[in-house]
Amino acid sequence: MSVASSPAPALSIRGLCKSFDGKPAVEQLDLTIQPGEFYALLGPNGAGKTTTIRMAAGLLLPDSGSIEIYGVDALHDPIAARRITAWLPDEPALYDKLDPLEYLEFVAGLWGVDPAVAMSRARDLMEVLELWPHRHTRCEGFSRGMKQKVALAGALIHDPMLLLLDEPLTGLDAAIARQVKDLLTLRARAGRAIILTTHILEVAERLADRIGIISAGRLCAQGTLEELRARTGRAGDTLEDVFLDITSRAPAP
Amino acid sequence: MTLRPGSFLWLVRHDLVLSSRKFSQHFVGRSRMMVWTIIAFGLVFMHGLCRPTADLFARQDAQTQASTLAGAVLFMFLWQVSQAITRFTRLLYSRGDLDLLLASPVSRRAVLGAHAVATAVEITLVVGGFVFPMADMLAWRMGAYWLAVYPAVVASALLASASGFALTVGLFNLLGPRHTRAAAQVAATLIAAAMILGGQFVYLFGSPARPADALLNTRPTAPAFMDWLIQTPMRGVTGDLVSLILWMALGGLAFAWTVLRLGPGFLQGAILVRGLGDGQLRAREKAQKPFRPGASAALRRKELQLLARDPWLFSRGLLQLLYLAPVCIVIWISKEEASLALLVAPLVIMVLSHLAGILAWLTILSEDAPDFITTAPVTSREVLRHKLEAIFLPLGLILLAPTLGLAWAEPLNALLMVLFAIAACASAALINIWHPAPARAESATSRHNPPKIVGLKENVVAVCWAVACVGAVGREKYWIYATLAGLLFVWVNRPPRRARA
Repeated sequence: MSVASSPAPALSIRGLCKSFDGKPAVEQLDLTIQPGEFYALLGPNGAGKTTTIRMAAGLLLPDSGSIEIYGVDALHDPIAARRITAWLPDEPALYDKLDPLEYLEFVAGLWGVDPAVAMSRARDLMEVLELWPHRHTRCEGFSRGMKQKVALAGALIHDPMLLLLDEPLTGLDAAIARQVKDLLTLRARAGRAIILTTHILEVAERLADRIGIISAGRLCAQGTLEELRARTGRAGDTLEDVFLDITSRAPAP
Repeated sequence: MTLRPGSFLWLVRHDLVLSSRKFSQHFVGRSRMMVWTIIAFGLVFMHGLCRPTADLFARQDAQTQASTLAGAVLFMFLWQVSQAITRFTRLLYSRGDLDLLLASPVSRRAVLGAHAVATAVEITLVVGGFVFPMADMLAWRMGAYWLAVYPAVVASALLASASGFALTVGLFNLLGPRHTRAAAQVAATLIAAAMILGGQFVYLFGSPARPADALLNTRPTAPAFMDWLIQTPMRGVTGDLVSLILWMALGGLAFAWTVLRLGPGFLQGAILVRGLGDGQLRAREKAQKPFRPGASAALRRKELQLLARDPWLFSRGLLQLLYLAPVCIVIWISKEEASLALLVAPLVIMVLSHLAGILAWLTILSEDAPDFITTAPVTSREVLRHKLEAIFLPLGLILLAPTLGLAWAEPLNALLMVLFAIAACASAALINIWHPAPARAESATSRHNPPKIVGLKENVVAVCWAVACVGAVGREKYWIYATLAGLLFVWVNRPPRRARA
């Protein structure tokens, strides 16, 4: 059975714990994201969002717990898990001396994408993100937003089944942020799972199917916006009100 | 003293504080007491090193002293010019502090002037770290007038900063923003190496029967005034007050005139460079090539592309070649009926070993996107293997040409050269891999500053292999000892068992 037709959740995290110098960053986190779901992970600074995303991406080893991506145990078979996953950090990780096209060729090569398919996808992505006129300009001269767009194209070129996005809209102007949001929505509709962390609550409110709120390394609440409103008992509130209400009631770290 | 924020001196202090912070990064994790102890020990060590040199200098006849002094003054000046070019080019291209200052209401002329002054101070201190102990020892041995070296170094730094600034602006106007950085790097390398090469040239070919001597003896005699002017720095260094004042005035005027006259052009350049990202300057159109498949090929290709586009790497390789070539010529001509391998092999081994160390540092330890590579579906062992392939491919190509040339004349010696070169490259790469001190990817400065201790170890092991090769080519027994020393050195530097696990 292929990963795409697997009945397993796109991401299943159970009992995840991670401490730094004895200080817990993530504690007993359970999270399940289904294929085609757009999940927003919100939380105050230092809540454990980035640590969670980095553990799911294989960049940090948890102290305990399990991570499965489409049924693949990411801790025991990390290569298989990475093959279907993309991670986009808030600080774009690029090579300044490569141009965007060379960068995308490199990423496609790493993920073993067929060259003809990769070339076609690269062109499509670069046109959507308005990078095509800059395809032969080395990244060293790019602004932060431009670099973020190149990194996003890199994350999408191998058509990952699970996208882990850490503050992907930071540094993007309004027009490009809109394009990126549309691009991500299309991915979710095509059955790809997306988990994103953001401080821009409007993004989560507008795009996410479900929202998780994490505080002091623990998942305080999750559900659709309506479910979260019902939980706080304040129908009609904005996500900002709900978020502040839930995090203010969460236990202090 | 409280300086008015935004004033010229305030800006100078700001630049110097930043420079001192960069310097203090070398002592991260050490207490203040330990840092001062290390600096004091360094000063004592330098003075101890200069003492016998000062004695030797004092025993020379007046003519030899004059020519030694002339060479030293010229060497110091060229070294300072090289340093100035490097620093001004870095300022032109680096983003950060200058962006903030240019965007502030502070006068741009004051910003640039302050940076130029700070550069001159830095250059004075860098060169002074080597020159001042010598001046102290000469003053102790020959008389207090040698302390005139201190202001003379400042005057030289001002003149060198002016020259470096003018050269950087000239290169920028001539080549434009895309090529100036690489060209300036090479220019700084050549200027720094020029004096050593010139000295080697005179040393090698300077006997009466040799052409260089004839060349030097047939030079046109300078007019008396010009001769007097040219000798001003030498007289200034030896304490002649009028010459010293004249030289300092000349340095100060040249510095002020250059910064004021060429400053606007430099700032225009800085602004132009900062505009590159806004699409004001378009990249050249390239033919569209189809993507190529495979993770292995992608990793190798990426490393080779990044290495080929690194001007620092080119200038370091060039510098190594320029410094070592004369040494090899000395070895060659010092032997009767000398083998060609005695010229080629040590040069090739030293250069390749140094390059292997640099390439290992750049590709493995200065990876720009280590987290991204970690998320790719390839194992870390595969990544390391392909990076090593990317290191050894260019080294192999560089080795090919001298090997073929030598094999035509001396096939056995060519084989020996290849074997020792491989050993030297592997040793240098291993020392880098075993002593990881990853550079911050976002900092070009730290990326291009491998740890000094690792560089020292690379040089030691490279010398072992070069000596072993010279011994083997000369069929002399000491090659065994040199080989054992090389192997022992590498073995001693292996990481602890726990780190390897």
